[in-house]
Amino acid sequence: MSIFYGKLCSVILKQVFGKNVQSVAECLFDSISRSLSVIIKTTNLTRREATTALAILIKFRLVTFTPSVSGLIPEYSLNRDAINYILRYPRYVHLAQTKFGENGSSIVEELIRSGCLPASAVIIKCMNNYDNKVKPELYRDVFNTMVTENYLIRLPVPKAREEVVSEVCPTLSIEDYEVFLPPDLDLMELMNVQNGNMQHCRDHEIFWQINFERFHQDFRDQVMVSAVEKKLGASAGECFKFILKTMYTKTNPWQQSYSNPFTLAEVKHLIDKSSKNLELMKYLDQYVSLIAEDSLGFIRKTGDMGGGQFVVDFERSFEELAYTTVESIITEKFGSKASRIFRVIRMKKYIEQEDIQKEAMIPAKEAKLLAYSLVQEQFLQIKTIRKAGGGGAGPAKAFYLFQIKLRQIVKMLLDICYKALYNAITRTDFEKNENKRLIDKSQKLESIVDAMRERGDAEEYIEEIRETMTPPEREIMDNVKLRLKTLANAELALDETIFLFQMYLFHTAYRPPVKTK
Amino acid sequence: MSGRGTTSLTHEQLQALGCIGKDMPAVTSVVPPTFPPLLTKPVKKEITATQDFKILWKEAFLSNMRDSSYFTVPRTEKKDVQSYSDQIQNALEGSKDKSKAEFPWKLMPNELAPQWKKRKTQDPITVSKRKKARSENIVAHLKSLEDQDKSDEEPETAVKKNESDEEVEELLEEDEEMDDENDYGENYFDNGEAYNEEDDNLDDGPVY
Amino acid sequence: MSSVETDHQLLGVIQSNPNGVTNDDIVKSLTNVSPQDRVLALNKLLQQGLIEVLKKGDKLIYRGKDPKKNSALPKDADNEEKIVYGLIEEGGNKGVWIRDIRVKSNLNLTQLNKILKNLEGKKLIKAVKSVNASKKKVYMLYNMEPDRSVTGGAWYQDQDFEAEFVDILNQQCLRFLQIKRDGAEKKREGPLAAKQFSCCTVKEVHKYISDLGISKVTLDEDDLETILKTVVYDGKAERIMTAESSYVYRAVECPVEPPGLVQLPCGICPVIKNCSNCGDVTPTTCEYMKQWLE
Repeated sequence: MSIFYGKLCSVILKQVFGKNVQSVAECLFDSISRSLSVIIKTTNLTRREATTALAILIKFRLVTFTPSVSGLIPEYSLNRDAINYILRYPRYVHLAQTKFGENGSSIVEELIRSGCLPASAVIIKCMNNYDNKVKPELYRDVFNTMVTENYLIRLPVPKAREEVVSEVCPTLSIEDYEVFLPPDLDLMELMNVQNGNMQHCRDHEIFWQINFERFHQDFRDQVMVSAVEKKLGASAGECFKFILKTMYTKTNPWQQSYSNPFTLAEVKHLIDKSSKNLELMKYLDQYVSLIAEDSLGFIRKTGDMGGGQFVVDFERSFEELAYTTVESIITEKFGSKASRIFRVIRMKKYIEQEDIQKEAMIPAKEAKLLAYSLVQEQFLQIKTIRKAGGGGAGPAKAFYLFQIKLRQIVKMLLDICYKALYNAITRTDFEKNENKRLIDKSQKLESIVDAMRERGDAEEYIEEIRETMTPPEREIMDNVKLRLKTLANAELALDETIFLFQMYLFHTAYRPPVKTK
Repeated sequence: MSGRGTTSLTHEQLQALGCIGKDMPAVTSVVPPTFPPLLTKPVKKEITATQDFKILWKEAFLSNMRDSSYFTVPRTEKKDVQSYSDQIQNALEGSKDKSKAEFPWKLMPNELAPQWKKRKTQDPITVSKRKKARSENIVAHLKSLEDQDKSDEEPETAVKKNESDEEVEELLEEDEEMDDENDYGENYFDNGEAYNEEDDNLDDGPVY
Repeated sequence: MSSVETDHQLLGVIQSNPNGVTNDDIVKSLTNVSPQDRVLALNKLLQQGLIEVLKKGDKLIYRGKDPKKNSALPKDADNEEKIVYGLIEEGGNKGVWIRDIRVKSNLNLTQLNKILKNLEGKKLIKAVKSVNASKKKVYMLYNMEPDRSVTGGAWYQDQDFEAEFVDILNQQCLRFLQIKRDGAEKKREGPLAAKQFSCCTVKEVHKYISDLGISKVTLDEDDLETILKTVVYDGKAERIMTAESSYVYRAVECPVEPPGLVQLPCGICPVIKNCSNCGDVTPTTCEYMKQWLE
């Protein structure tokens, strides 16, 4: 894993959990696993600081543990991939809101803020923090729906004592059927706990967490649907949504390369049932053919059964999307002529310098400079082919061909994304520090004004307090706020690029050939 | 980038690329500028309502986490990190329940769990009395802050300022007291032999 | 036997068979010539351009060269002139570089330059600047029409690539494809019909561009296809093979928004490699960040 990713993880954890958690994570980042005593020694934290940091990391599902080889002590390892999910928290909450309304987003928010919680605790927190008027059954129902739709996932529980092998770590396990089994919630009990008449609900030892994979599945769908929409229009986009829905009924969502087959008849059945798009219903078979024939390559025809049998080709889809993204980055960084050269090489696979300028119709000198820049920044590779010279005399003649290694480019760009994110976070801290006095003052004023409002003070009096901030100060403050917003927006946008590249790497990863027994 | 690092091309390759020769600018000894001019500006996109929601949520989330007991700061820095406004904020929010760190110890290795210290459940009446006292303090405190603010530039108020600072400290001390009560095992020392003992305690462990 | 006689005999043997003869044939016919003389004579004839060597399987074959080809050369031309002229003639309409002539003719540069100048003066050959290798001249027979690969075709004016002209044509072709697509979308006869309507043949595009009258040189359909391909390479059009195995072109939209990475300076930063926590380039001292946030 890249050093930039390590640095990025470090600043993210510092931002969210403070310096102790940061140091413990940094210590774990460099190794497969470490014991508590090593962590204490490396980080210079006190035992209590270290154990608290570890407990936090475990609670937020960022650290896992196993008994050491000797079985005497636990060893901790960092769940590196999950750290950048922290940057996606706003997206998870937003998705829950669009799909399950305010109650859904409250539930997700509470789970995110605590890492994991028992269902009853989530609902009590929601009721305390948000609108008390929302009835607990509403939260319960949304919670259950989110569980059955796999947006929330039950955590494994410790095995009963007699089964436990090691006293050092709890042995956690869960039956398959339980993973998405809705919790056993008693509303009376909930009310009693909320009123302080009871200590805890019966489910207090069953913990839940948001199921990142399920959210990522939706994000992936969004990426693909919006690509179809942008290229082939709104109706085609809607058509593709139904195609995915049909496909998921028969395919594990994270099947790596391509889905199991589905038929046009099945898609039609679903659309007739749930779409109001007359255009789409009228020309459904045409829309499906349009998508299947398009160079995006999202679906592929595999047979004629049921009006046509298709599969969703994730591997090709994300290769195409990754290419388009890389090309777009090249256009912005080096200009449109550079991306033209890149596409020439992509279409020709291997090509010599002289042929590039002829195909791309770019003056020789410019073409050379651009190709050189692209090679230097690792967007292009050079392949050398040596041909033995005539009769063995003289040096072997060499051909230099340009080629593209997409996987390598994507990894390189992912690294730049991590670096850029790190930079955005660092810059945000810097902007905040530079204007600390003013930000503090402004926050102080705001709290005072809020408190005065609550107390019912006269508006003119409040205005007077407000005016302690001079107009130039206010102007600076507005600028600072704008800068922070630009940076925050860039962070979110960057994550979308990261997500797309991660999907590409996942779906095109090398698969060892399946061995038949 | 790290491993594959800098691309170094051989002389032959450079020649094939046409990078050596008349077409290319001559190598100069002039140091290139640290920040050469950019070809274009970064793409500017309108911040949508969705993005805005996410930005605001994240800001609230981060400040929420900073105020929570999941936010860890080395002992040595504890005093410095709280800015003046944080202190006010704490004073104001002291009456609300700060999110307490709650850990599912049973899901974790024993060595992480603090020695469970039995304490009396707080009498709800005392708590509410305390809360009331605190909010009165806040009102008084705010008042003094306002006064101080209005006369920010007057040196005569120096004395007054000190007074209010003391008050802030007082409030803070109270906060810390509260924290300690919520805290677990201040004097916790693990001799590594207490596992069984802890196990017993864990059964009626922390409250969620 | 004098060397001139040997030459004549040898030429006779070789010319006797229009398909050429092998070394064995020569040995059999010229029994009285020593191997050394034979080789000398062969080389001389080769240099004079009177015979050529071909490879057939693993055997070398010597064949007489068409004497008519040399007819433009005045009878008084000397051997060197004949050789140079022959080499240039061989180059056809693609021309020959002076370096290649020198290597093959074994003449020194001053001598060769003199001959070339002489032949040029007599309007037997001409020098043409090649677009492939800038400033390199190639020689060809005077009445030859230089090949496209030498002149660069319509895109070159005096061997200078007319980038602006190409850009304008690229934009106009794209515009035509877009007009066609926008029209197709209004038809409302289903998505496949719309796709069909949006496809343009090279012929259509050629007509559109010709009617615009923006080109001062005549462009043929191949020229337009070259331009249309650049529109495809720009990611703004697709090339689709038809049933008749010719290609049609249609305008397409990019399926992704500008990625998040290029929405901040780091994505387009030329010095990102130097960027770290310390040194000249850091996120807090970055000029690009500063300008971007202003």
